[in-house]
Amino acid sequence: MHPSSRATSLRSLWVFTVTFSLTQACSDDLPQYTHVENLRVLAIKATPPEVLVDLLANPDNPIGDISTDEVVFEALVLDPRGGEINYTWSFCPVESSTACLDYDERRAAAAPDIQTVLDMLAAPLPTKTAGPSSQTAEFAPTDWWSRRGVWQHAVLPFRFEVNAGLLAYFGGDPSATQSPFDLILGVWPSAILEIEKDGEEALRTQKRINLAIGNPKTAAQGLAGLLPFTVCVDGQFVPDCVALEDRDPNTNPQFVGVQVAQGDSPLAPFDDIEIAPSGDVAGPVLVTRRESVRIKPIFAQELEENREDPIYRYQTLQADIDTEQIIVDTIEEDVSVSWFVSAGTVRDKITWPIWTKTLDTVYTAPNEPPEDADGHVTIWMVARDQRGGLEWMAVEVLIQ
Amino acid sequence: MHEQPIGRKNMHCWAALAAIATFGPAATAAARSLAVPGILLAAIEEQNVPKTKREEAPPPVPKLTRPPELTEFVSATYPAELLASGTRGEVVLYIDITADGGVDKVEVVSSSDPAFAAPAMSAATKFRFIPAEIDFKPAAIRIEYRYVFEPEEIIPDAIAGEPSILESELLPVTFTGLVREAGNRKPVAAAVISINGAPVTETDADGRFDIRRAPGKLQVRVTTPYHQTYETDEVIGQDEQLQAKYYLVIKSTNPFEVVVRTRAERREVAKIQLQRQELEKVPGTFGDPVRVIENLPGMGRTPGGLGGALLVRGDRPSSTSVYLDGVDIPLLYHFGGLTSIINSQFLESIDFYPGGFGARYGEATAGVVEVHSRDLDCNMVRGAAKVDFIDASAYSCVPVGDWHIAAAARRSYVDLLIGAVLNSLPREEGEGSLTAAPYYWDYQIKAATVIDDHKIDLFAFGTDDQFKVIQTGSAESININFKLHLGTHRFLARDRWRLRDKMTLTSQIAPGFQLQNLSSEYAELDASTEFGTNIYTIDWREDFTFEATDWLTLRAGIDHRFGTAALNVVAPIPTDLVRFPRPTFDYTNTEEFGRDLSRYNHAYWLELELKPLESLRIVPGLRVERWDFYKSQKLSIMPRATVRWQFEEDMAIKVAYGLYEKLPEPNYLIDGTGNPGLAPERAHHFIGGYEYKITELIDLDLQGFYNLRSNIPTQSAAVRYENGREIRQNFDSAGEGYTYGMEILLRQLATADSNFYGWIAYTLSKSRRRDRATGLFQGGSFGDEPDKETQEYPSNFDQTHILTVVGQWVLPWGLEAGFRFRLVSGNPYTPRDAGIVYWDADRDTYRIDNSNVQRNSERMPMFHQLDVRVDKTWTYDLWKLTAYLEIINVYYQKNVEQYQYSYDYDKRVPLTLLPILPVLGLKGEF
Repeated sequence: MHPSSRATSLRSLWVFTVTFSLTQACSDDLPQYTHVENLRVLAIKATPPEVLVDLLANPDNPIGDISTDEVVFEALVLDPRGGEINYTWSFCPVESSTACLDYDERRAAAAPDIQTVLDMLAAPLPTKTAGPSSQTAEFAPTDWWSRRGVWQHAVLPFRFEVNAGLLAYFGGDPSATQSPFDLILGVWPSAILEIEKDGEEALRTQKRINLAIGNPKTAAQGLAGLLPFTVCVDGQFVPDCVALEDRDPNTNPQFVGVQVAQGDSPLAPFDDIEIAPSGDVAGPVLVTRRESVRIKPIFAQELEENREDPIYRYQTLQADIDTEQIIVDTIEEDVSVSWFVSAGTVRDKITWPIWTKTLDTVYTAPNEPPEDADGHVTIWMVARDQRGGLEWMAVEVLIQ
Repeated sequence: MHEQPIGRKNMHCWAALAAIATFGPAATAAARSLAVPGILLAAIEEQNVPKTKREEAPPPVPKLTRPPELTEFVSATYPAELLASGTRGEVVLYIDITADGGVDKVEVVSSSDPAFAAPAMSAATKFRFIPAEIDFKPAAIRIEYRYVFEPEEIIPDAIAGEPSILESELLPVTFTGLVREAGNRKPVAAAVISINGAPVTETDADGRFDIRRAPGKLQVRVTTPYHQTYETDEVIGQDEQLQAKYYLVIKSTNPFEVVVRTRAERREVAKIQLQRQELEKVPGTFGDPVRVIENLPGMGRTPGGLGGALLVRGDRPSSTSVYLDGVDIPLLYHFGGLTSIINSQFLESIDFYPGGFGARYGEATAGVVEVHSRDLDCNMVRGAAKVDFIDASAYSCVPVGDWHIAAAARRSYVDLLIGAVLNSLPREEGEGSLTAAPYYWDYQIKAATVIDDHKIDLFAFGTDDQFKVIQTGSAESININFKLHLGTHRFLARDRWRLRDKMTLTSQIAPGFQLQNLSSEYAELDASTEFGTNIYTIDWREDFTFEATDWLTLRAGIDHRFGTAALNVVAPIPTDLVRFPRPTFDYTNTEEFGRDLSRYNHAYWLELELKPLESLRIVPGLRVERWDFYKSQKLSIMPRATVRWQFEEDMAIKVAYGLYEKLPEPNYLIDGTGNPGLAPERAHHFIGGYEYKITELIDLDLQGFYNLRSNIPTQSAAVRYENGREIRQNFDSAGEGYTYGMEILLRQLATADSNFYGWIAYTLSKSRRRDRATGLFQGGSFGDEPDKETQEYPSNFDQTHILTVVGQWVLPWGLEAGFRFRLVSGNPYTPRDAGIVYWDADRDTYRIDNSNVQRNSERMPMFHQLDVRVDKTWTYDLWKLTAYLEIINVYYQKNVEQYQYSYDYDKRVPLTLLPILPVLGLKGEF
């Protein structure tokens, strides 16, 4: 017998069996992800989510342009218990998948002059306080369920002088073999938001933005030697060149409104689109206790007039497994929606057509209307376009 | 059919009751002329006859494959005075039979009158035997022999009205009979047939008897030492011949009745051998003998409650090999531990080596489990069937000419039960359904014969495990068809050839096929995934043994294994060179690729068993193995040695050392995911031990061990350059580990005359591992870079204390009862809330950075559990029925197997498995 196959069989079967057994024993005693009960950050939005660098703007610097554009970060922060929070924004100038907790390790890989730049960029902004008494924001207002008042958010200006340094850093890092910049798709620095409440609760969050080279096609000749492949140039035949087009910057998804169907039957028809009057809150939707309704978000890209809009398509680079060649693929955005409620339940944590076929979900009202919210419930929807774009919207529900 | 002579003095060879009981029908021929013993009292040690009663069961041997057969009987001189007085007598002797069939020594155990002792001894000294065989080789043995003195004159005198011998011999045969054991129809040899109170004859080896009696009414009584006395009235009519069949009920359904009370003469110092009959009723194993090894010292408890993983001395399951009749098998259990893949009727014994195993075994760095199949012995059609809530199985064995052929099959029906339940649930319009359908089946077919000096086995077996999860889509959800399919089919041809005296050659060739397939289909999305491997193998082994002298035995062998595997993968492999982090995985974007891999291992091994002193055994060995797999070519030279010194008759010390290497698993060795340059995994085993035979029945085995492991594959972020091209190393061989500890086994052996059997096993150990934490452990994703430095931590299977107590009793009325109690330290784990928790807005999930967390820094709570089992057997003339009730976790201990965390790791709840689980089953045998 193939001894190695024995080991693999034993391991896979044992792991599978045990895992399956354990997953069958999930507990209902733990709080649900979709139920907002304590301090939560439901979303962080970067506007714009992607910033392009013009490689032709400064011929003396093949790395890129110095831009003065800003990226604005906003956070959807909630705590139904009210109270004040202290929050701190900072910038993580290295690619990190651990909320910049590995900053020191990654910084150490950079050249000394780059390290100085990185340290300057990573310095946190001053800590601020938000809450009912704060002038900066009314945190967790008494009618928080309705999302009236100002949701907690903060703005982090982001200057584009950083781009060149970042791109240079990643371009010169020998360990950054998987850097998006090496593959012309950019780099992913992050905004870090730290929240602290009452000296006991603390939460650290991370939101990336995409800094990409916007004009790889027109700047192809300037990229020679910087990339592990050759970008095709119009009118020139180069074997195995990669046909990248100049890039349209990504934008955040746009909610148009929601549709509601009575009951949880998948066959029940949806009502007409309900447009959010203020652009981000729809409703109220009237629901009797223990009743279910289906809620379906509508996005701008779903509208007939936007279906062919190229901003919903983008290029990726892929490796052909058999030939190991780099090929270009054009992908259409597929939006997912995360669901959160203040009371009652939603069937899905995330709706995404590749998993759930449709974007809608079923909301079931609680047995009793929430007394502290005068019967009001808020459903939050957070949309992601899978390349950094994000938007949220709320639906107000009144339990009868 | 001839009539046994009766009344002739001293002619009762109380034939081979125990020989039959012990060795089954195959032994009956031998038993015909041999008064073998109630019990074979241990005795298998060459030229080392014990001197005290405790010493009468000297050390020991693996397996008695042929009992001795008396070929030359010598009558003893009847003491004149006792003959004159008509005194009957009985002398119980121990006879030490040499390996060439002569009598080396005779001891008197008891004598009804001292005057009988000397003539009985004198006569027995002149007996000649066909020698016993142990592991198919002639060997010395001690038997218990009962020599009966019975004067012929006593019969007519003692029983008034009974015909004299002379009168009887003038009559025709008017009464013939057949005596069998109730329940299994085995012939009962040497059963004494008494008519009207007087012993008249005894049954032959086939259980038959003939009696010459005048017509009339008879009171018939049939007796043996091991069966309940059978009494009945018969009438012989005028000019009639009476034919009768009697079924004797064995005095108990003692499961140990067929256990030869021998202690294996161990070359390996850490070997534990278990006989099938000792194992079938151990609680907590669902009647599966193989699972009993989980209760032995050195074997860790499998987390999760199901068992099945072979966690030997703190090492990974993949470090332990499983052999069936010398051939490596990929799977020992269905579904990772539910039940073993071989029907228990095919099992003879199980050898468990928690370390220090000999040069014969390869591909293991921790332990070895070898399962031995039974030599078929069905002189008549035999069968068995078993039904419980999990599966049903059937077994049958038939003689066909010179061949014995046995077959068995089993099928689980959990899928049918689940399907029936789910289908009975009401379903609304548009509502989907979810069906989980695990099932398995297996089969075994074996044919065996003996041709001259060749014992030939042909053994085919196969197993198939499937687990299906079918989600029928609703208007909202999609159709998902998930399937796990594992199958193995093997054919094993074996020839055990006795080349000449003290020289044997065992040749084996074993082709096989194995498949592993994990697939899923998403109909509406036109998407599917598959991970499939078809593996074809052929193994060839030659094992040669030559007892060159009294002090030197040579063992050598070759072990060739060839395999080719076709790997086919259809998977959502993220071919994007860079992909922005997203909340869920896109499985609709699949890629397909295949690989053909081949592997050729060839090993050559040699062992010398040296006995420079009678009490000293030294076994040096060497195994040389070469592996060729994909781009890896490795050679290992592995010296091993054991020394055992029996410095007292009942005490021995032992030491062992061995170097063990195996190639890492394929995924570590393939370009892209692994590194073909990895070194073979290595382990040094150092073992020291002490054995003490406390009483005739109770053994103590104490061992200390230290296993030092190295070259364990661990993730690496390093890159190397080939032709200017950067290649990620993925893994290197920097992983290390060690385990040290002690093991105690206190065991009461199973015997025919004891109604208790059990053991206490205790392991105290510490197991550590050093390697790099993966990116996943640190809170990253698959593919994230691992640590640069290795870190030492308690290994995942480090269980400091493992205590197992097993006891079984044979009770009256066909009842048996047993228990198993386990007390085991919790497994180490890394608390998921120990790191820094953060929320990733792009992935929409809470994650943990564990980079500064000590791995496996905490332990699960102590595990303890009591399992009990009760068997009730009803014995009928032609078959017997056993019903059993097994209760797992009797006192409902909520053992924590894992923790489940809240989404933000702020809260956790313990997950417990296996509440009280009663299992009811039926087993019929004929």
